[in-house]
Amino acid sequence: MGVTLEPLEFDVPPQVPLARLATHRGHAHTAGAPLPPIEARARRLVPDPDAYARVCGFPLGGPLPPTYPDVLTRGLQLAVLTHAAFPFPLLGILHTEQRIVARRDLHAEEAMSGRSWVEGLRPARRGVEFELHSAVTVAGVEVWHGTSTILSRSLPGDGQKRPRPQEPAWTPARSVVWRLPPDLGRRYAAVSGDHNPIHLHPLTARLFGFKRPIAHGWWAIARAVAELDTDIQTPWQLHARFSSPLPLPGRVCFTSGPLRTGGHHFELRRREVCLSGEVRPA
Amino acid sequence: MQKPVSLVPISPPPPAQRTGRGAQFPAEGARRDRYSLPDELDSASPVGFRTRPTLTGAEGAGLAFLFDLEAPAVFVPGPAPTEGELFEEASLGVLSARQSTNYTGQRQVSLGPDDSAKLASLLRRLEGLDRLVLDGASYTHVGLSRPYRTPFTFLLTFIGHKAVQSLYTVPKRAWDKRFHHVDDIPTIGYLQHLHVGIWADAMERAAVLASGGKRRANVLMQPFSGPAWQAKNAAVLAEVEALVGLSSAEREAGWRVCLVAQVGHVASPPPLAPELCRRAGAALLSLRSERIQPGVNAEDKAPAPYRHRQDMDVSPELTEMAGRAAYNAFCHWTGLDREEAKRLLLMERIDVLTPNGKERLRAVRHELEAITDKVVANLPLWADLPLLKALSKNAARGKKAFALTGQRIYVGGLSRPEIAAHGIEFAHAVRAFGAAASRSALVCELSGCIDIPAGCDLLAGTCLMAGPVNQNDIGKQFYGYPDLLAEAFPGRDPTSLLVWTLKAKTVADPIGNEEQLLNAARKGALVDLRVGPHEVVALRVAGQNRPMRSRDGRLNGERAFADVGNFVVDPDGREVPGNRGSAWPEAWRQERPWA
Repeated sequence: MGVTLEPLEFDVPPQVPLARLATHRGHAHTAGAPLPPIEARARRLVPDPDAYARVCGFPLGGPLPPTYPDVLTRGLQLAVLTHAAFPFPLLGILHTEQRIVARRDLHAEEAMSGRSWVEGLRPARRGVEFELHSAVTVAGVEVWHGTSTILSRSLPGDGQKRPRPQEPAWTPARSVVWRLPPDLGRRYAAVSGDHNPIHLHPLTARLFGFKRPIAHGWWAIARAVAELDTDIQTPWQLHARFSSPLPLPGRVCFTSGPLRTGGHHFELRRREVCLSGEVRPA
Repeated sequence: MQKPVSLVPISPPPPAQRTGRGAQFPAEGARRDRYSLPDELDSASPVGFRTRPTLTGAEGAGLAFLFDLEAPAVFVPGPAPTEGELFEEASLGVLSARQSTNYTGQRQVSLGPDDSAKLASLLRRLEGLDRLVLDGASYTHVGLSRPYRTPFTFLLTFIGHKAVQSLYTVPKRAWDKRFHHVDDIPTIGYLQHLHVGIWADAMERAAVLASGGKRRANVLMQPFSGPAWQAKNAAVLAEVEALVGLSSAEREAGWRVCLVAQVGHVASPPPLAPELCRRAGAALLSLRSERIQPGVNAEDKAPAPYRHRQDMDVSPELTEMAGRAAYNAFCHWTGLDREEAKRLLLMERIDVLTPNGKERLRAVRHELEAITDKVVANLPLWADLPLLKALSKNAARGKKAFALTGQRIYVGGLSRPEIAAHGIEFAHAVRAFGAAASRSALVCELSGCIDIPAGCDLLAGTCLMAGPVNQNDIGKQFYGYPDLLAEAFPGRDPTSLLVWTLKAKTVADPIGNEEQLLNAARKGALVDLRVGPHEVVALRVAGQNRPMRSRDGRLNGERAFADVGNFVVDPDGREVPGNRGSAWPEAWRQERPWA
């Protein structure tokens, strides 16, 4: 029989103290058990997207950056992940995949509410994976949904290598080198509220096994969506996969182009692909 | 005054000789050199690494009007330009007009219609106007330029001194150069003006192509040319400088208004297919100096395509059209009668395919090498030794850089007294000469794009050089040598200004040739020296100069006319990462800065 938990209700997404993020150790987890149904809700989301847009390369003004709802619901996500019943520590978790469904453009003056929850725990090669969902609704209708696949290495993995999806056929139409400054992690943390130490400083990154700080996965996705610009029109859906981290400072080449099957493929490449994904009509 | 010019298709070589550059990415761990493809391109320039798009004969005929454009007589009302249109126009103008590799001495401030109207009333007060000042400009580009200064001119500081006196004369010359903009040799001073003329000529074509023929540029140049006109117009020029926000520090660094281009809509635009304009724009951005004549001057380590002669030639018809384009431009910019212009433009043609031509070329080479030897021998040791002989090594390198190769070689110049006798300031004539040389070269280059056979990069190219002229000038100023043109034009006191070479060939020069430097610190990676729009173009809005395409932390990554898709690939079709660029956000492209 599953556990029943009351959703956490907020007026606006809470500010989760950094200390709590750092000290959350996780609830004891029984192998094979599902994740507890933790959910957090906020009646109001309050956008302030300009600083975010600057860091991610979106034009200011007009609709909200289409990846910004992740930031709007960040407090809810952290409330879920630091819930007493949540079984894994936050420090050191890795973002491995991201899906987004954007039903329509959002505007700052709209009355938005949000919620976030976790589900879908499953074994992975080097730990366990689960899905962190975030959704934004306007007048009771879901207009944006993000699903982050998160890897926690706090439990042993099953060691099994999963086959990589076959790369779809596509033709390059954009190709540009991005320079990633050393303070990118701190700048994105300041506008997104994601202060994971692997992104912030060489010393804090080293504590978690990285020689250098690495860029936020969400920053890379947001910057890619900004670069795709009018190649994508709402409603759209995105599926992105992280293959290797983007060290800071550094340079990475963004390439994108139309898929033969409709939509656009994009990838970030250093010597090898770091992030790849597709955006298709929803 | 101008005569119609047509592009002349060039016969390709026999099929067995039809080959292209075929550059490849270096294998893992292999040494990179100028013949390999770069790992990536990280650049804000709109140019990128391009290939010449092949044009049909009909397309070539459709572009012929670009070589005899006349100044517009009147502007009519039309829609305000979008940011994207301004970017593409600047891409064909200040951002790509043929420039020396290291010289970033041109900038542009673009004014909206209100400031354009204010400027027009100022322009009418200028003396020496070479064009009518028009009302109703949609926008106006004010061109700024500064004296020609590069690492080469730094080296010149040490040239031509006597051993002991050099302890005084070198610092004095450096001081005069830095603070009073005095040139080491006159032809270095002319380089600034040659570049301005090339830019002015490019601006006229840029306005037409970026607007699909709807807009034209009215370029005024003479009132800003040279000290005499500048002195006569000093008060008005100060007001123009204030209008474009030129600071006193910039003035001190030598920046001055060098031209004004009023751009507006014309009543009867030529019937131009939009696709032809796009292809022409992409073609213009693909043109680069071609220094290598396969089988003639390639180095031993060059890949095979550079080491074999090709049986093809620059035809007499093309030579004639190239000359006609040069006379067109010289008439256009000086206002002289065509026959007079032909008399004043001093052009010596060295045809290397004839015995006399070979002999003449050999004599020129020997003379330039002898001057280089004298320069190296006379460099002050007190400066050269502490720099580990860097000065003498660089000076000696000039022998290779200034080598003349091509099937038709022109040495061009002007006679100072003859120009003065026609009441034209020499600086302005030099500008017109620059325009003439570049327009002539363009005829050859675009002709070389017609019906390019599969597997070939081009059919003809050209290289405009000032290096041999500068080297000759060093000889003239310090070692008593005659001018390069003295033998061809005895008794006319010629001043040679440029050398250009026409080459029929199918193999384009390596990518790491000119616009980029091989950076030893980055293991031979190519560094693109071509400027981005934020560095040299500003849009003046509400009294402020806003750098073009620097916004909210983003810089330009767009390659202009990228839709034509003429980007370099390896033989397997693999692209250079970052080369294709990425379009500026559409919301920003569609903005109308002055609407």
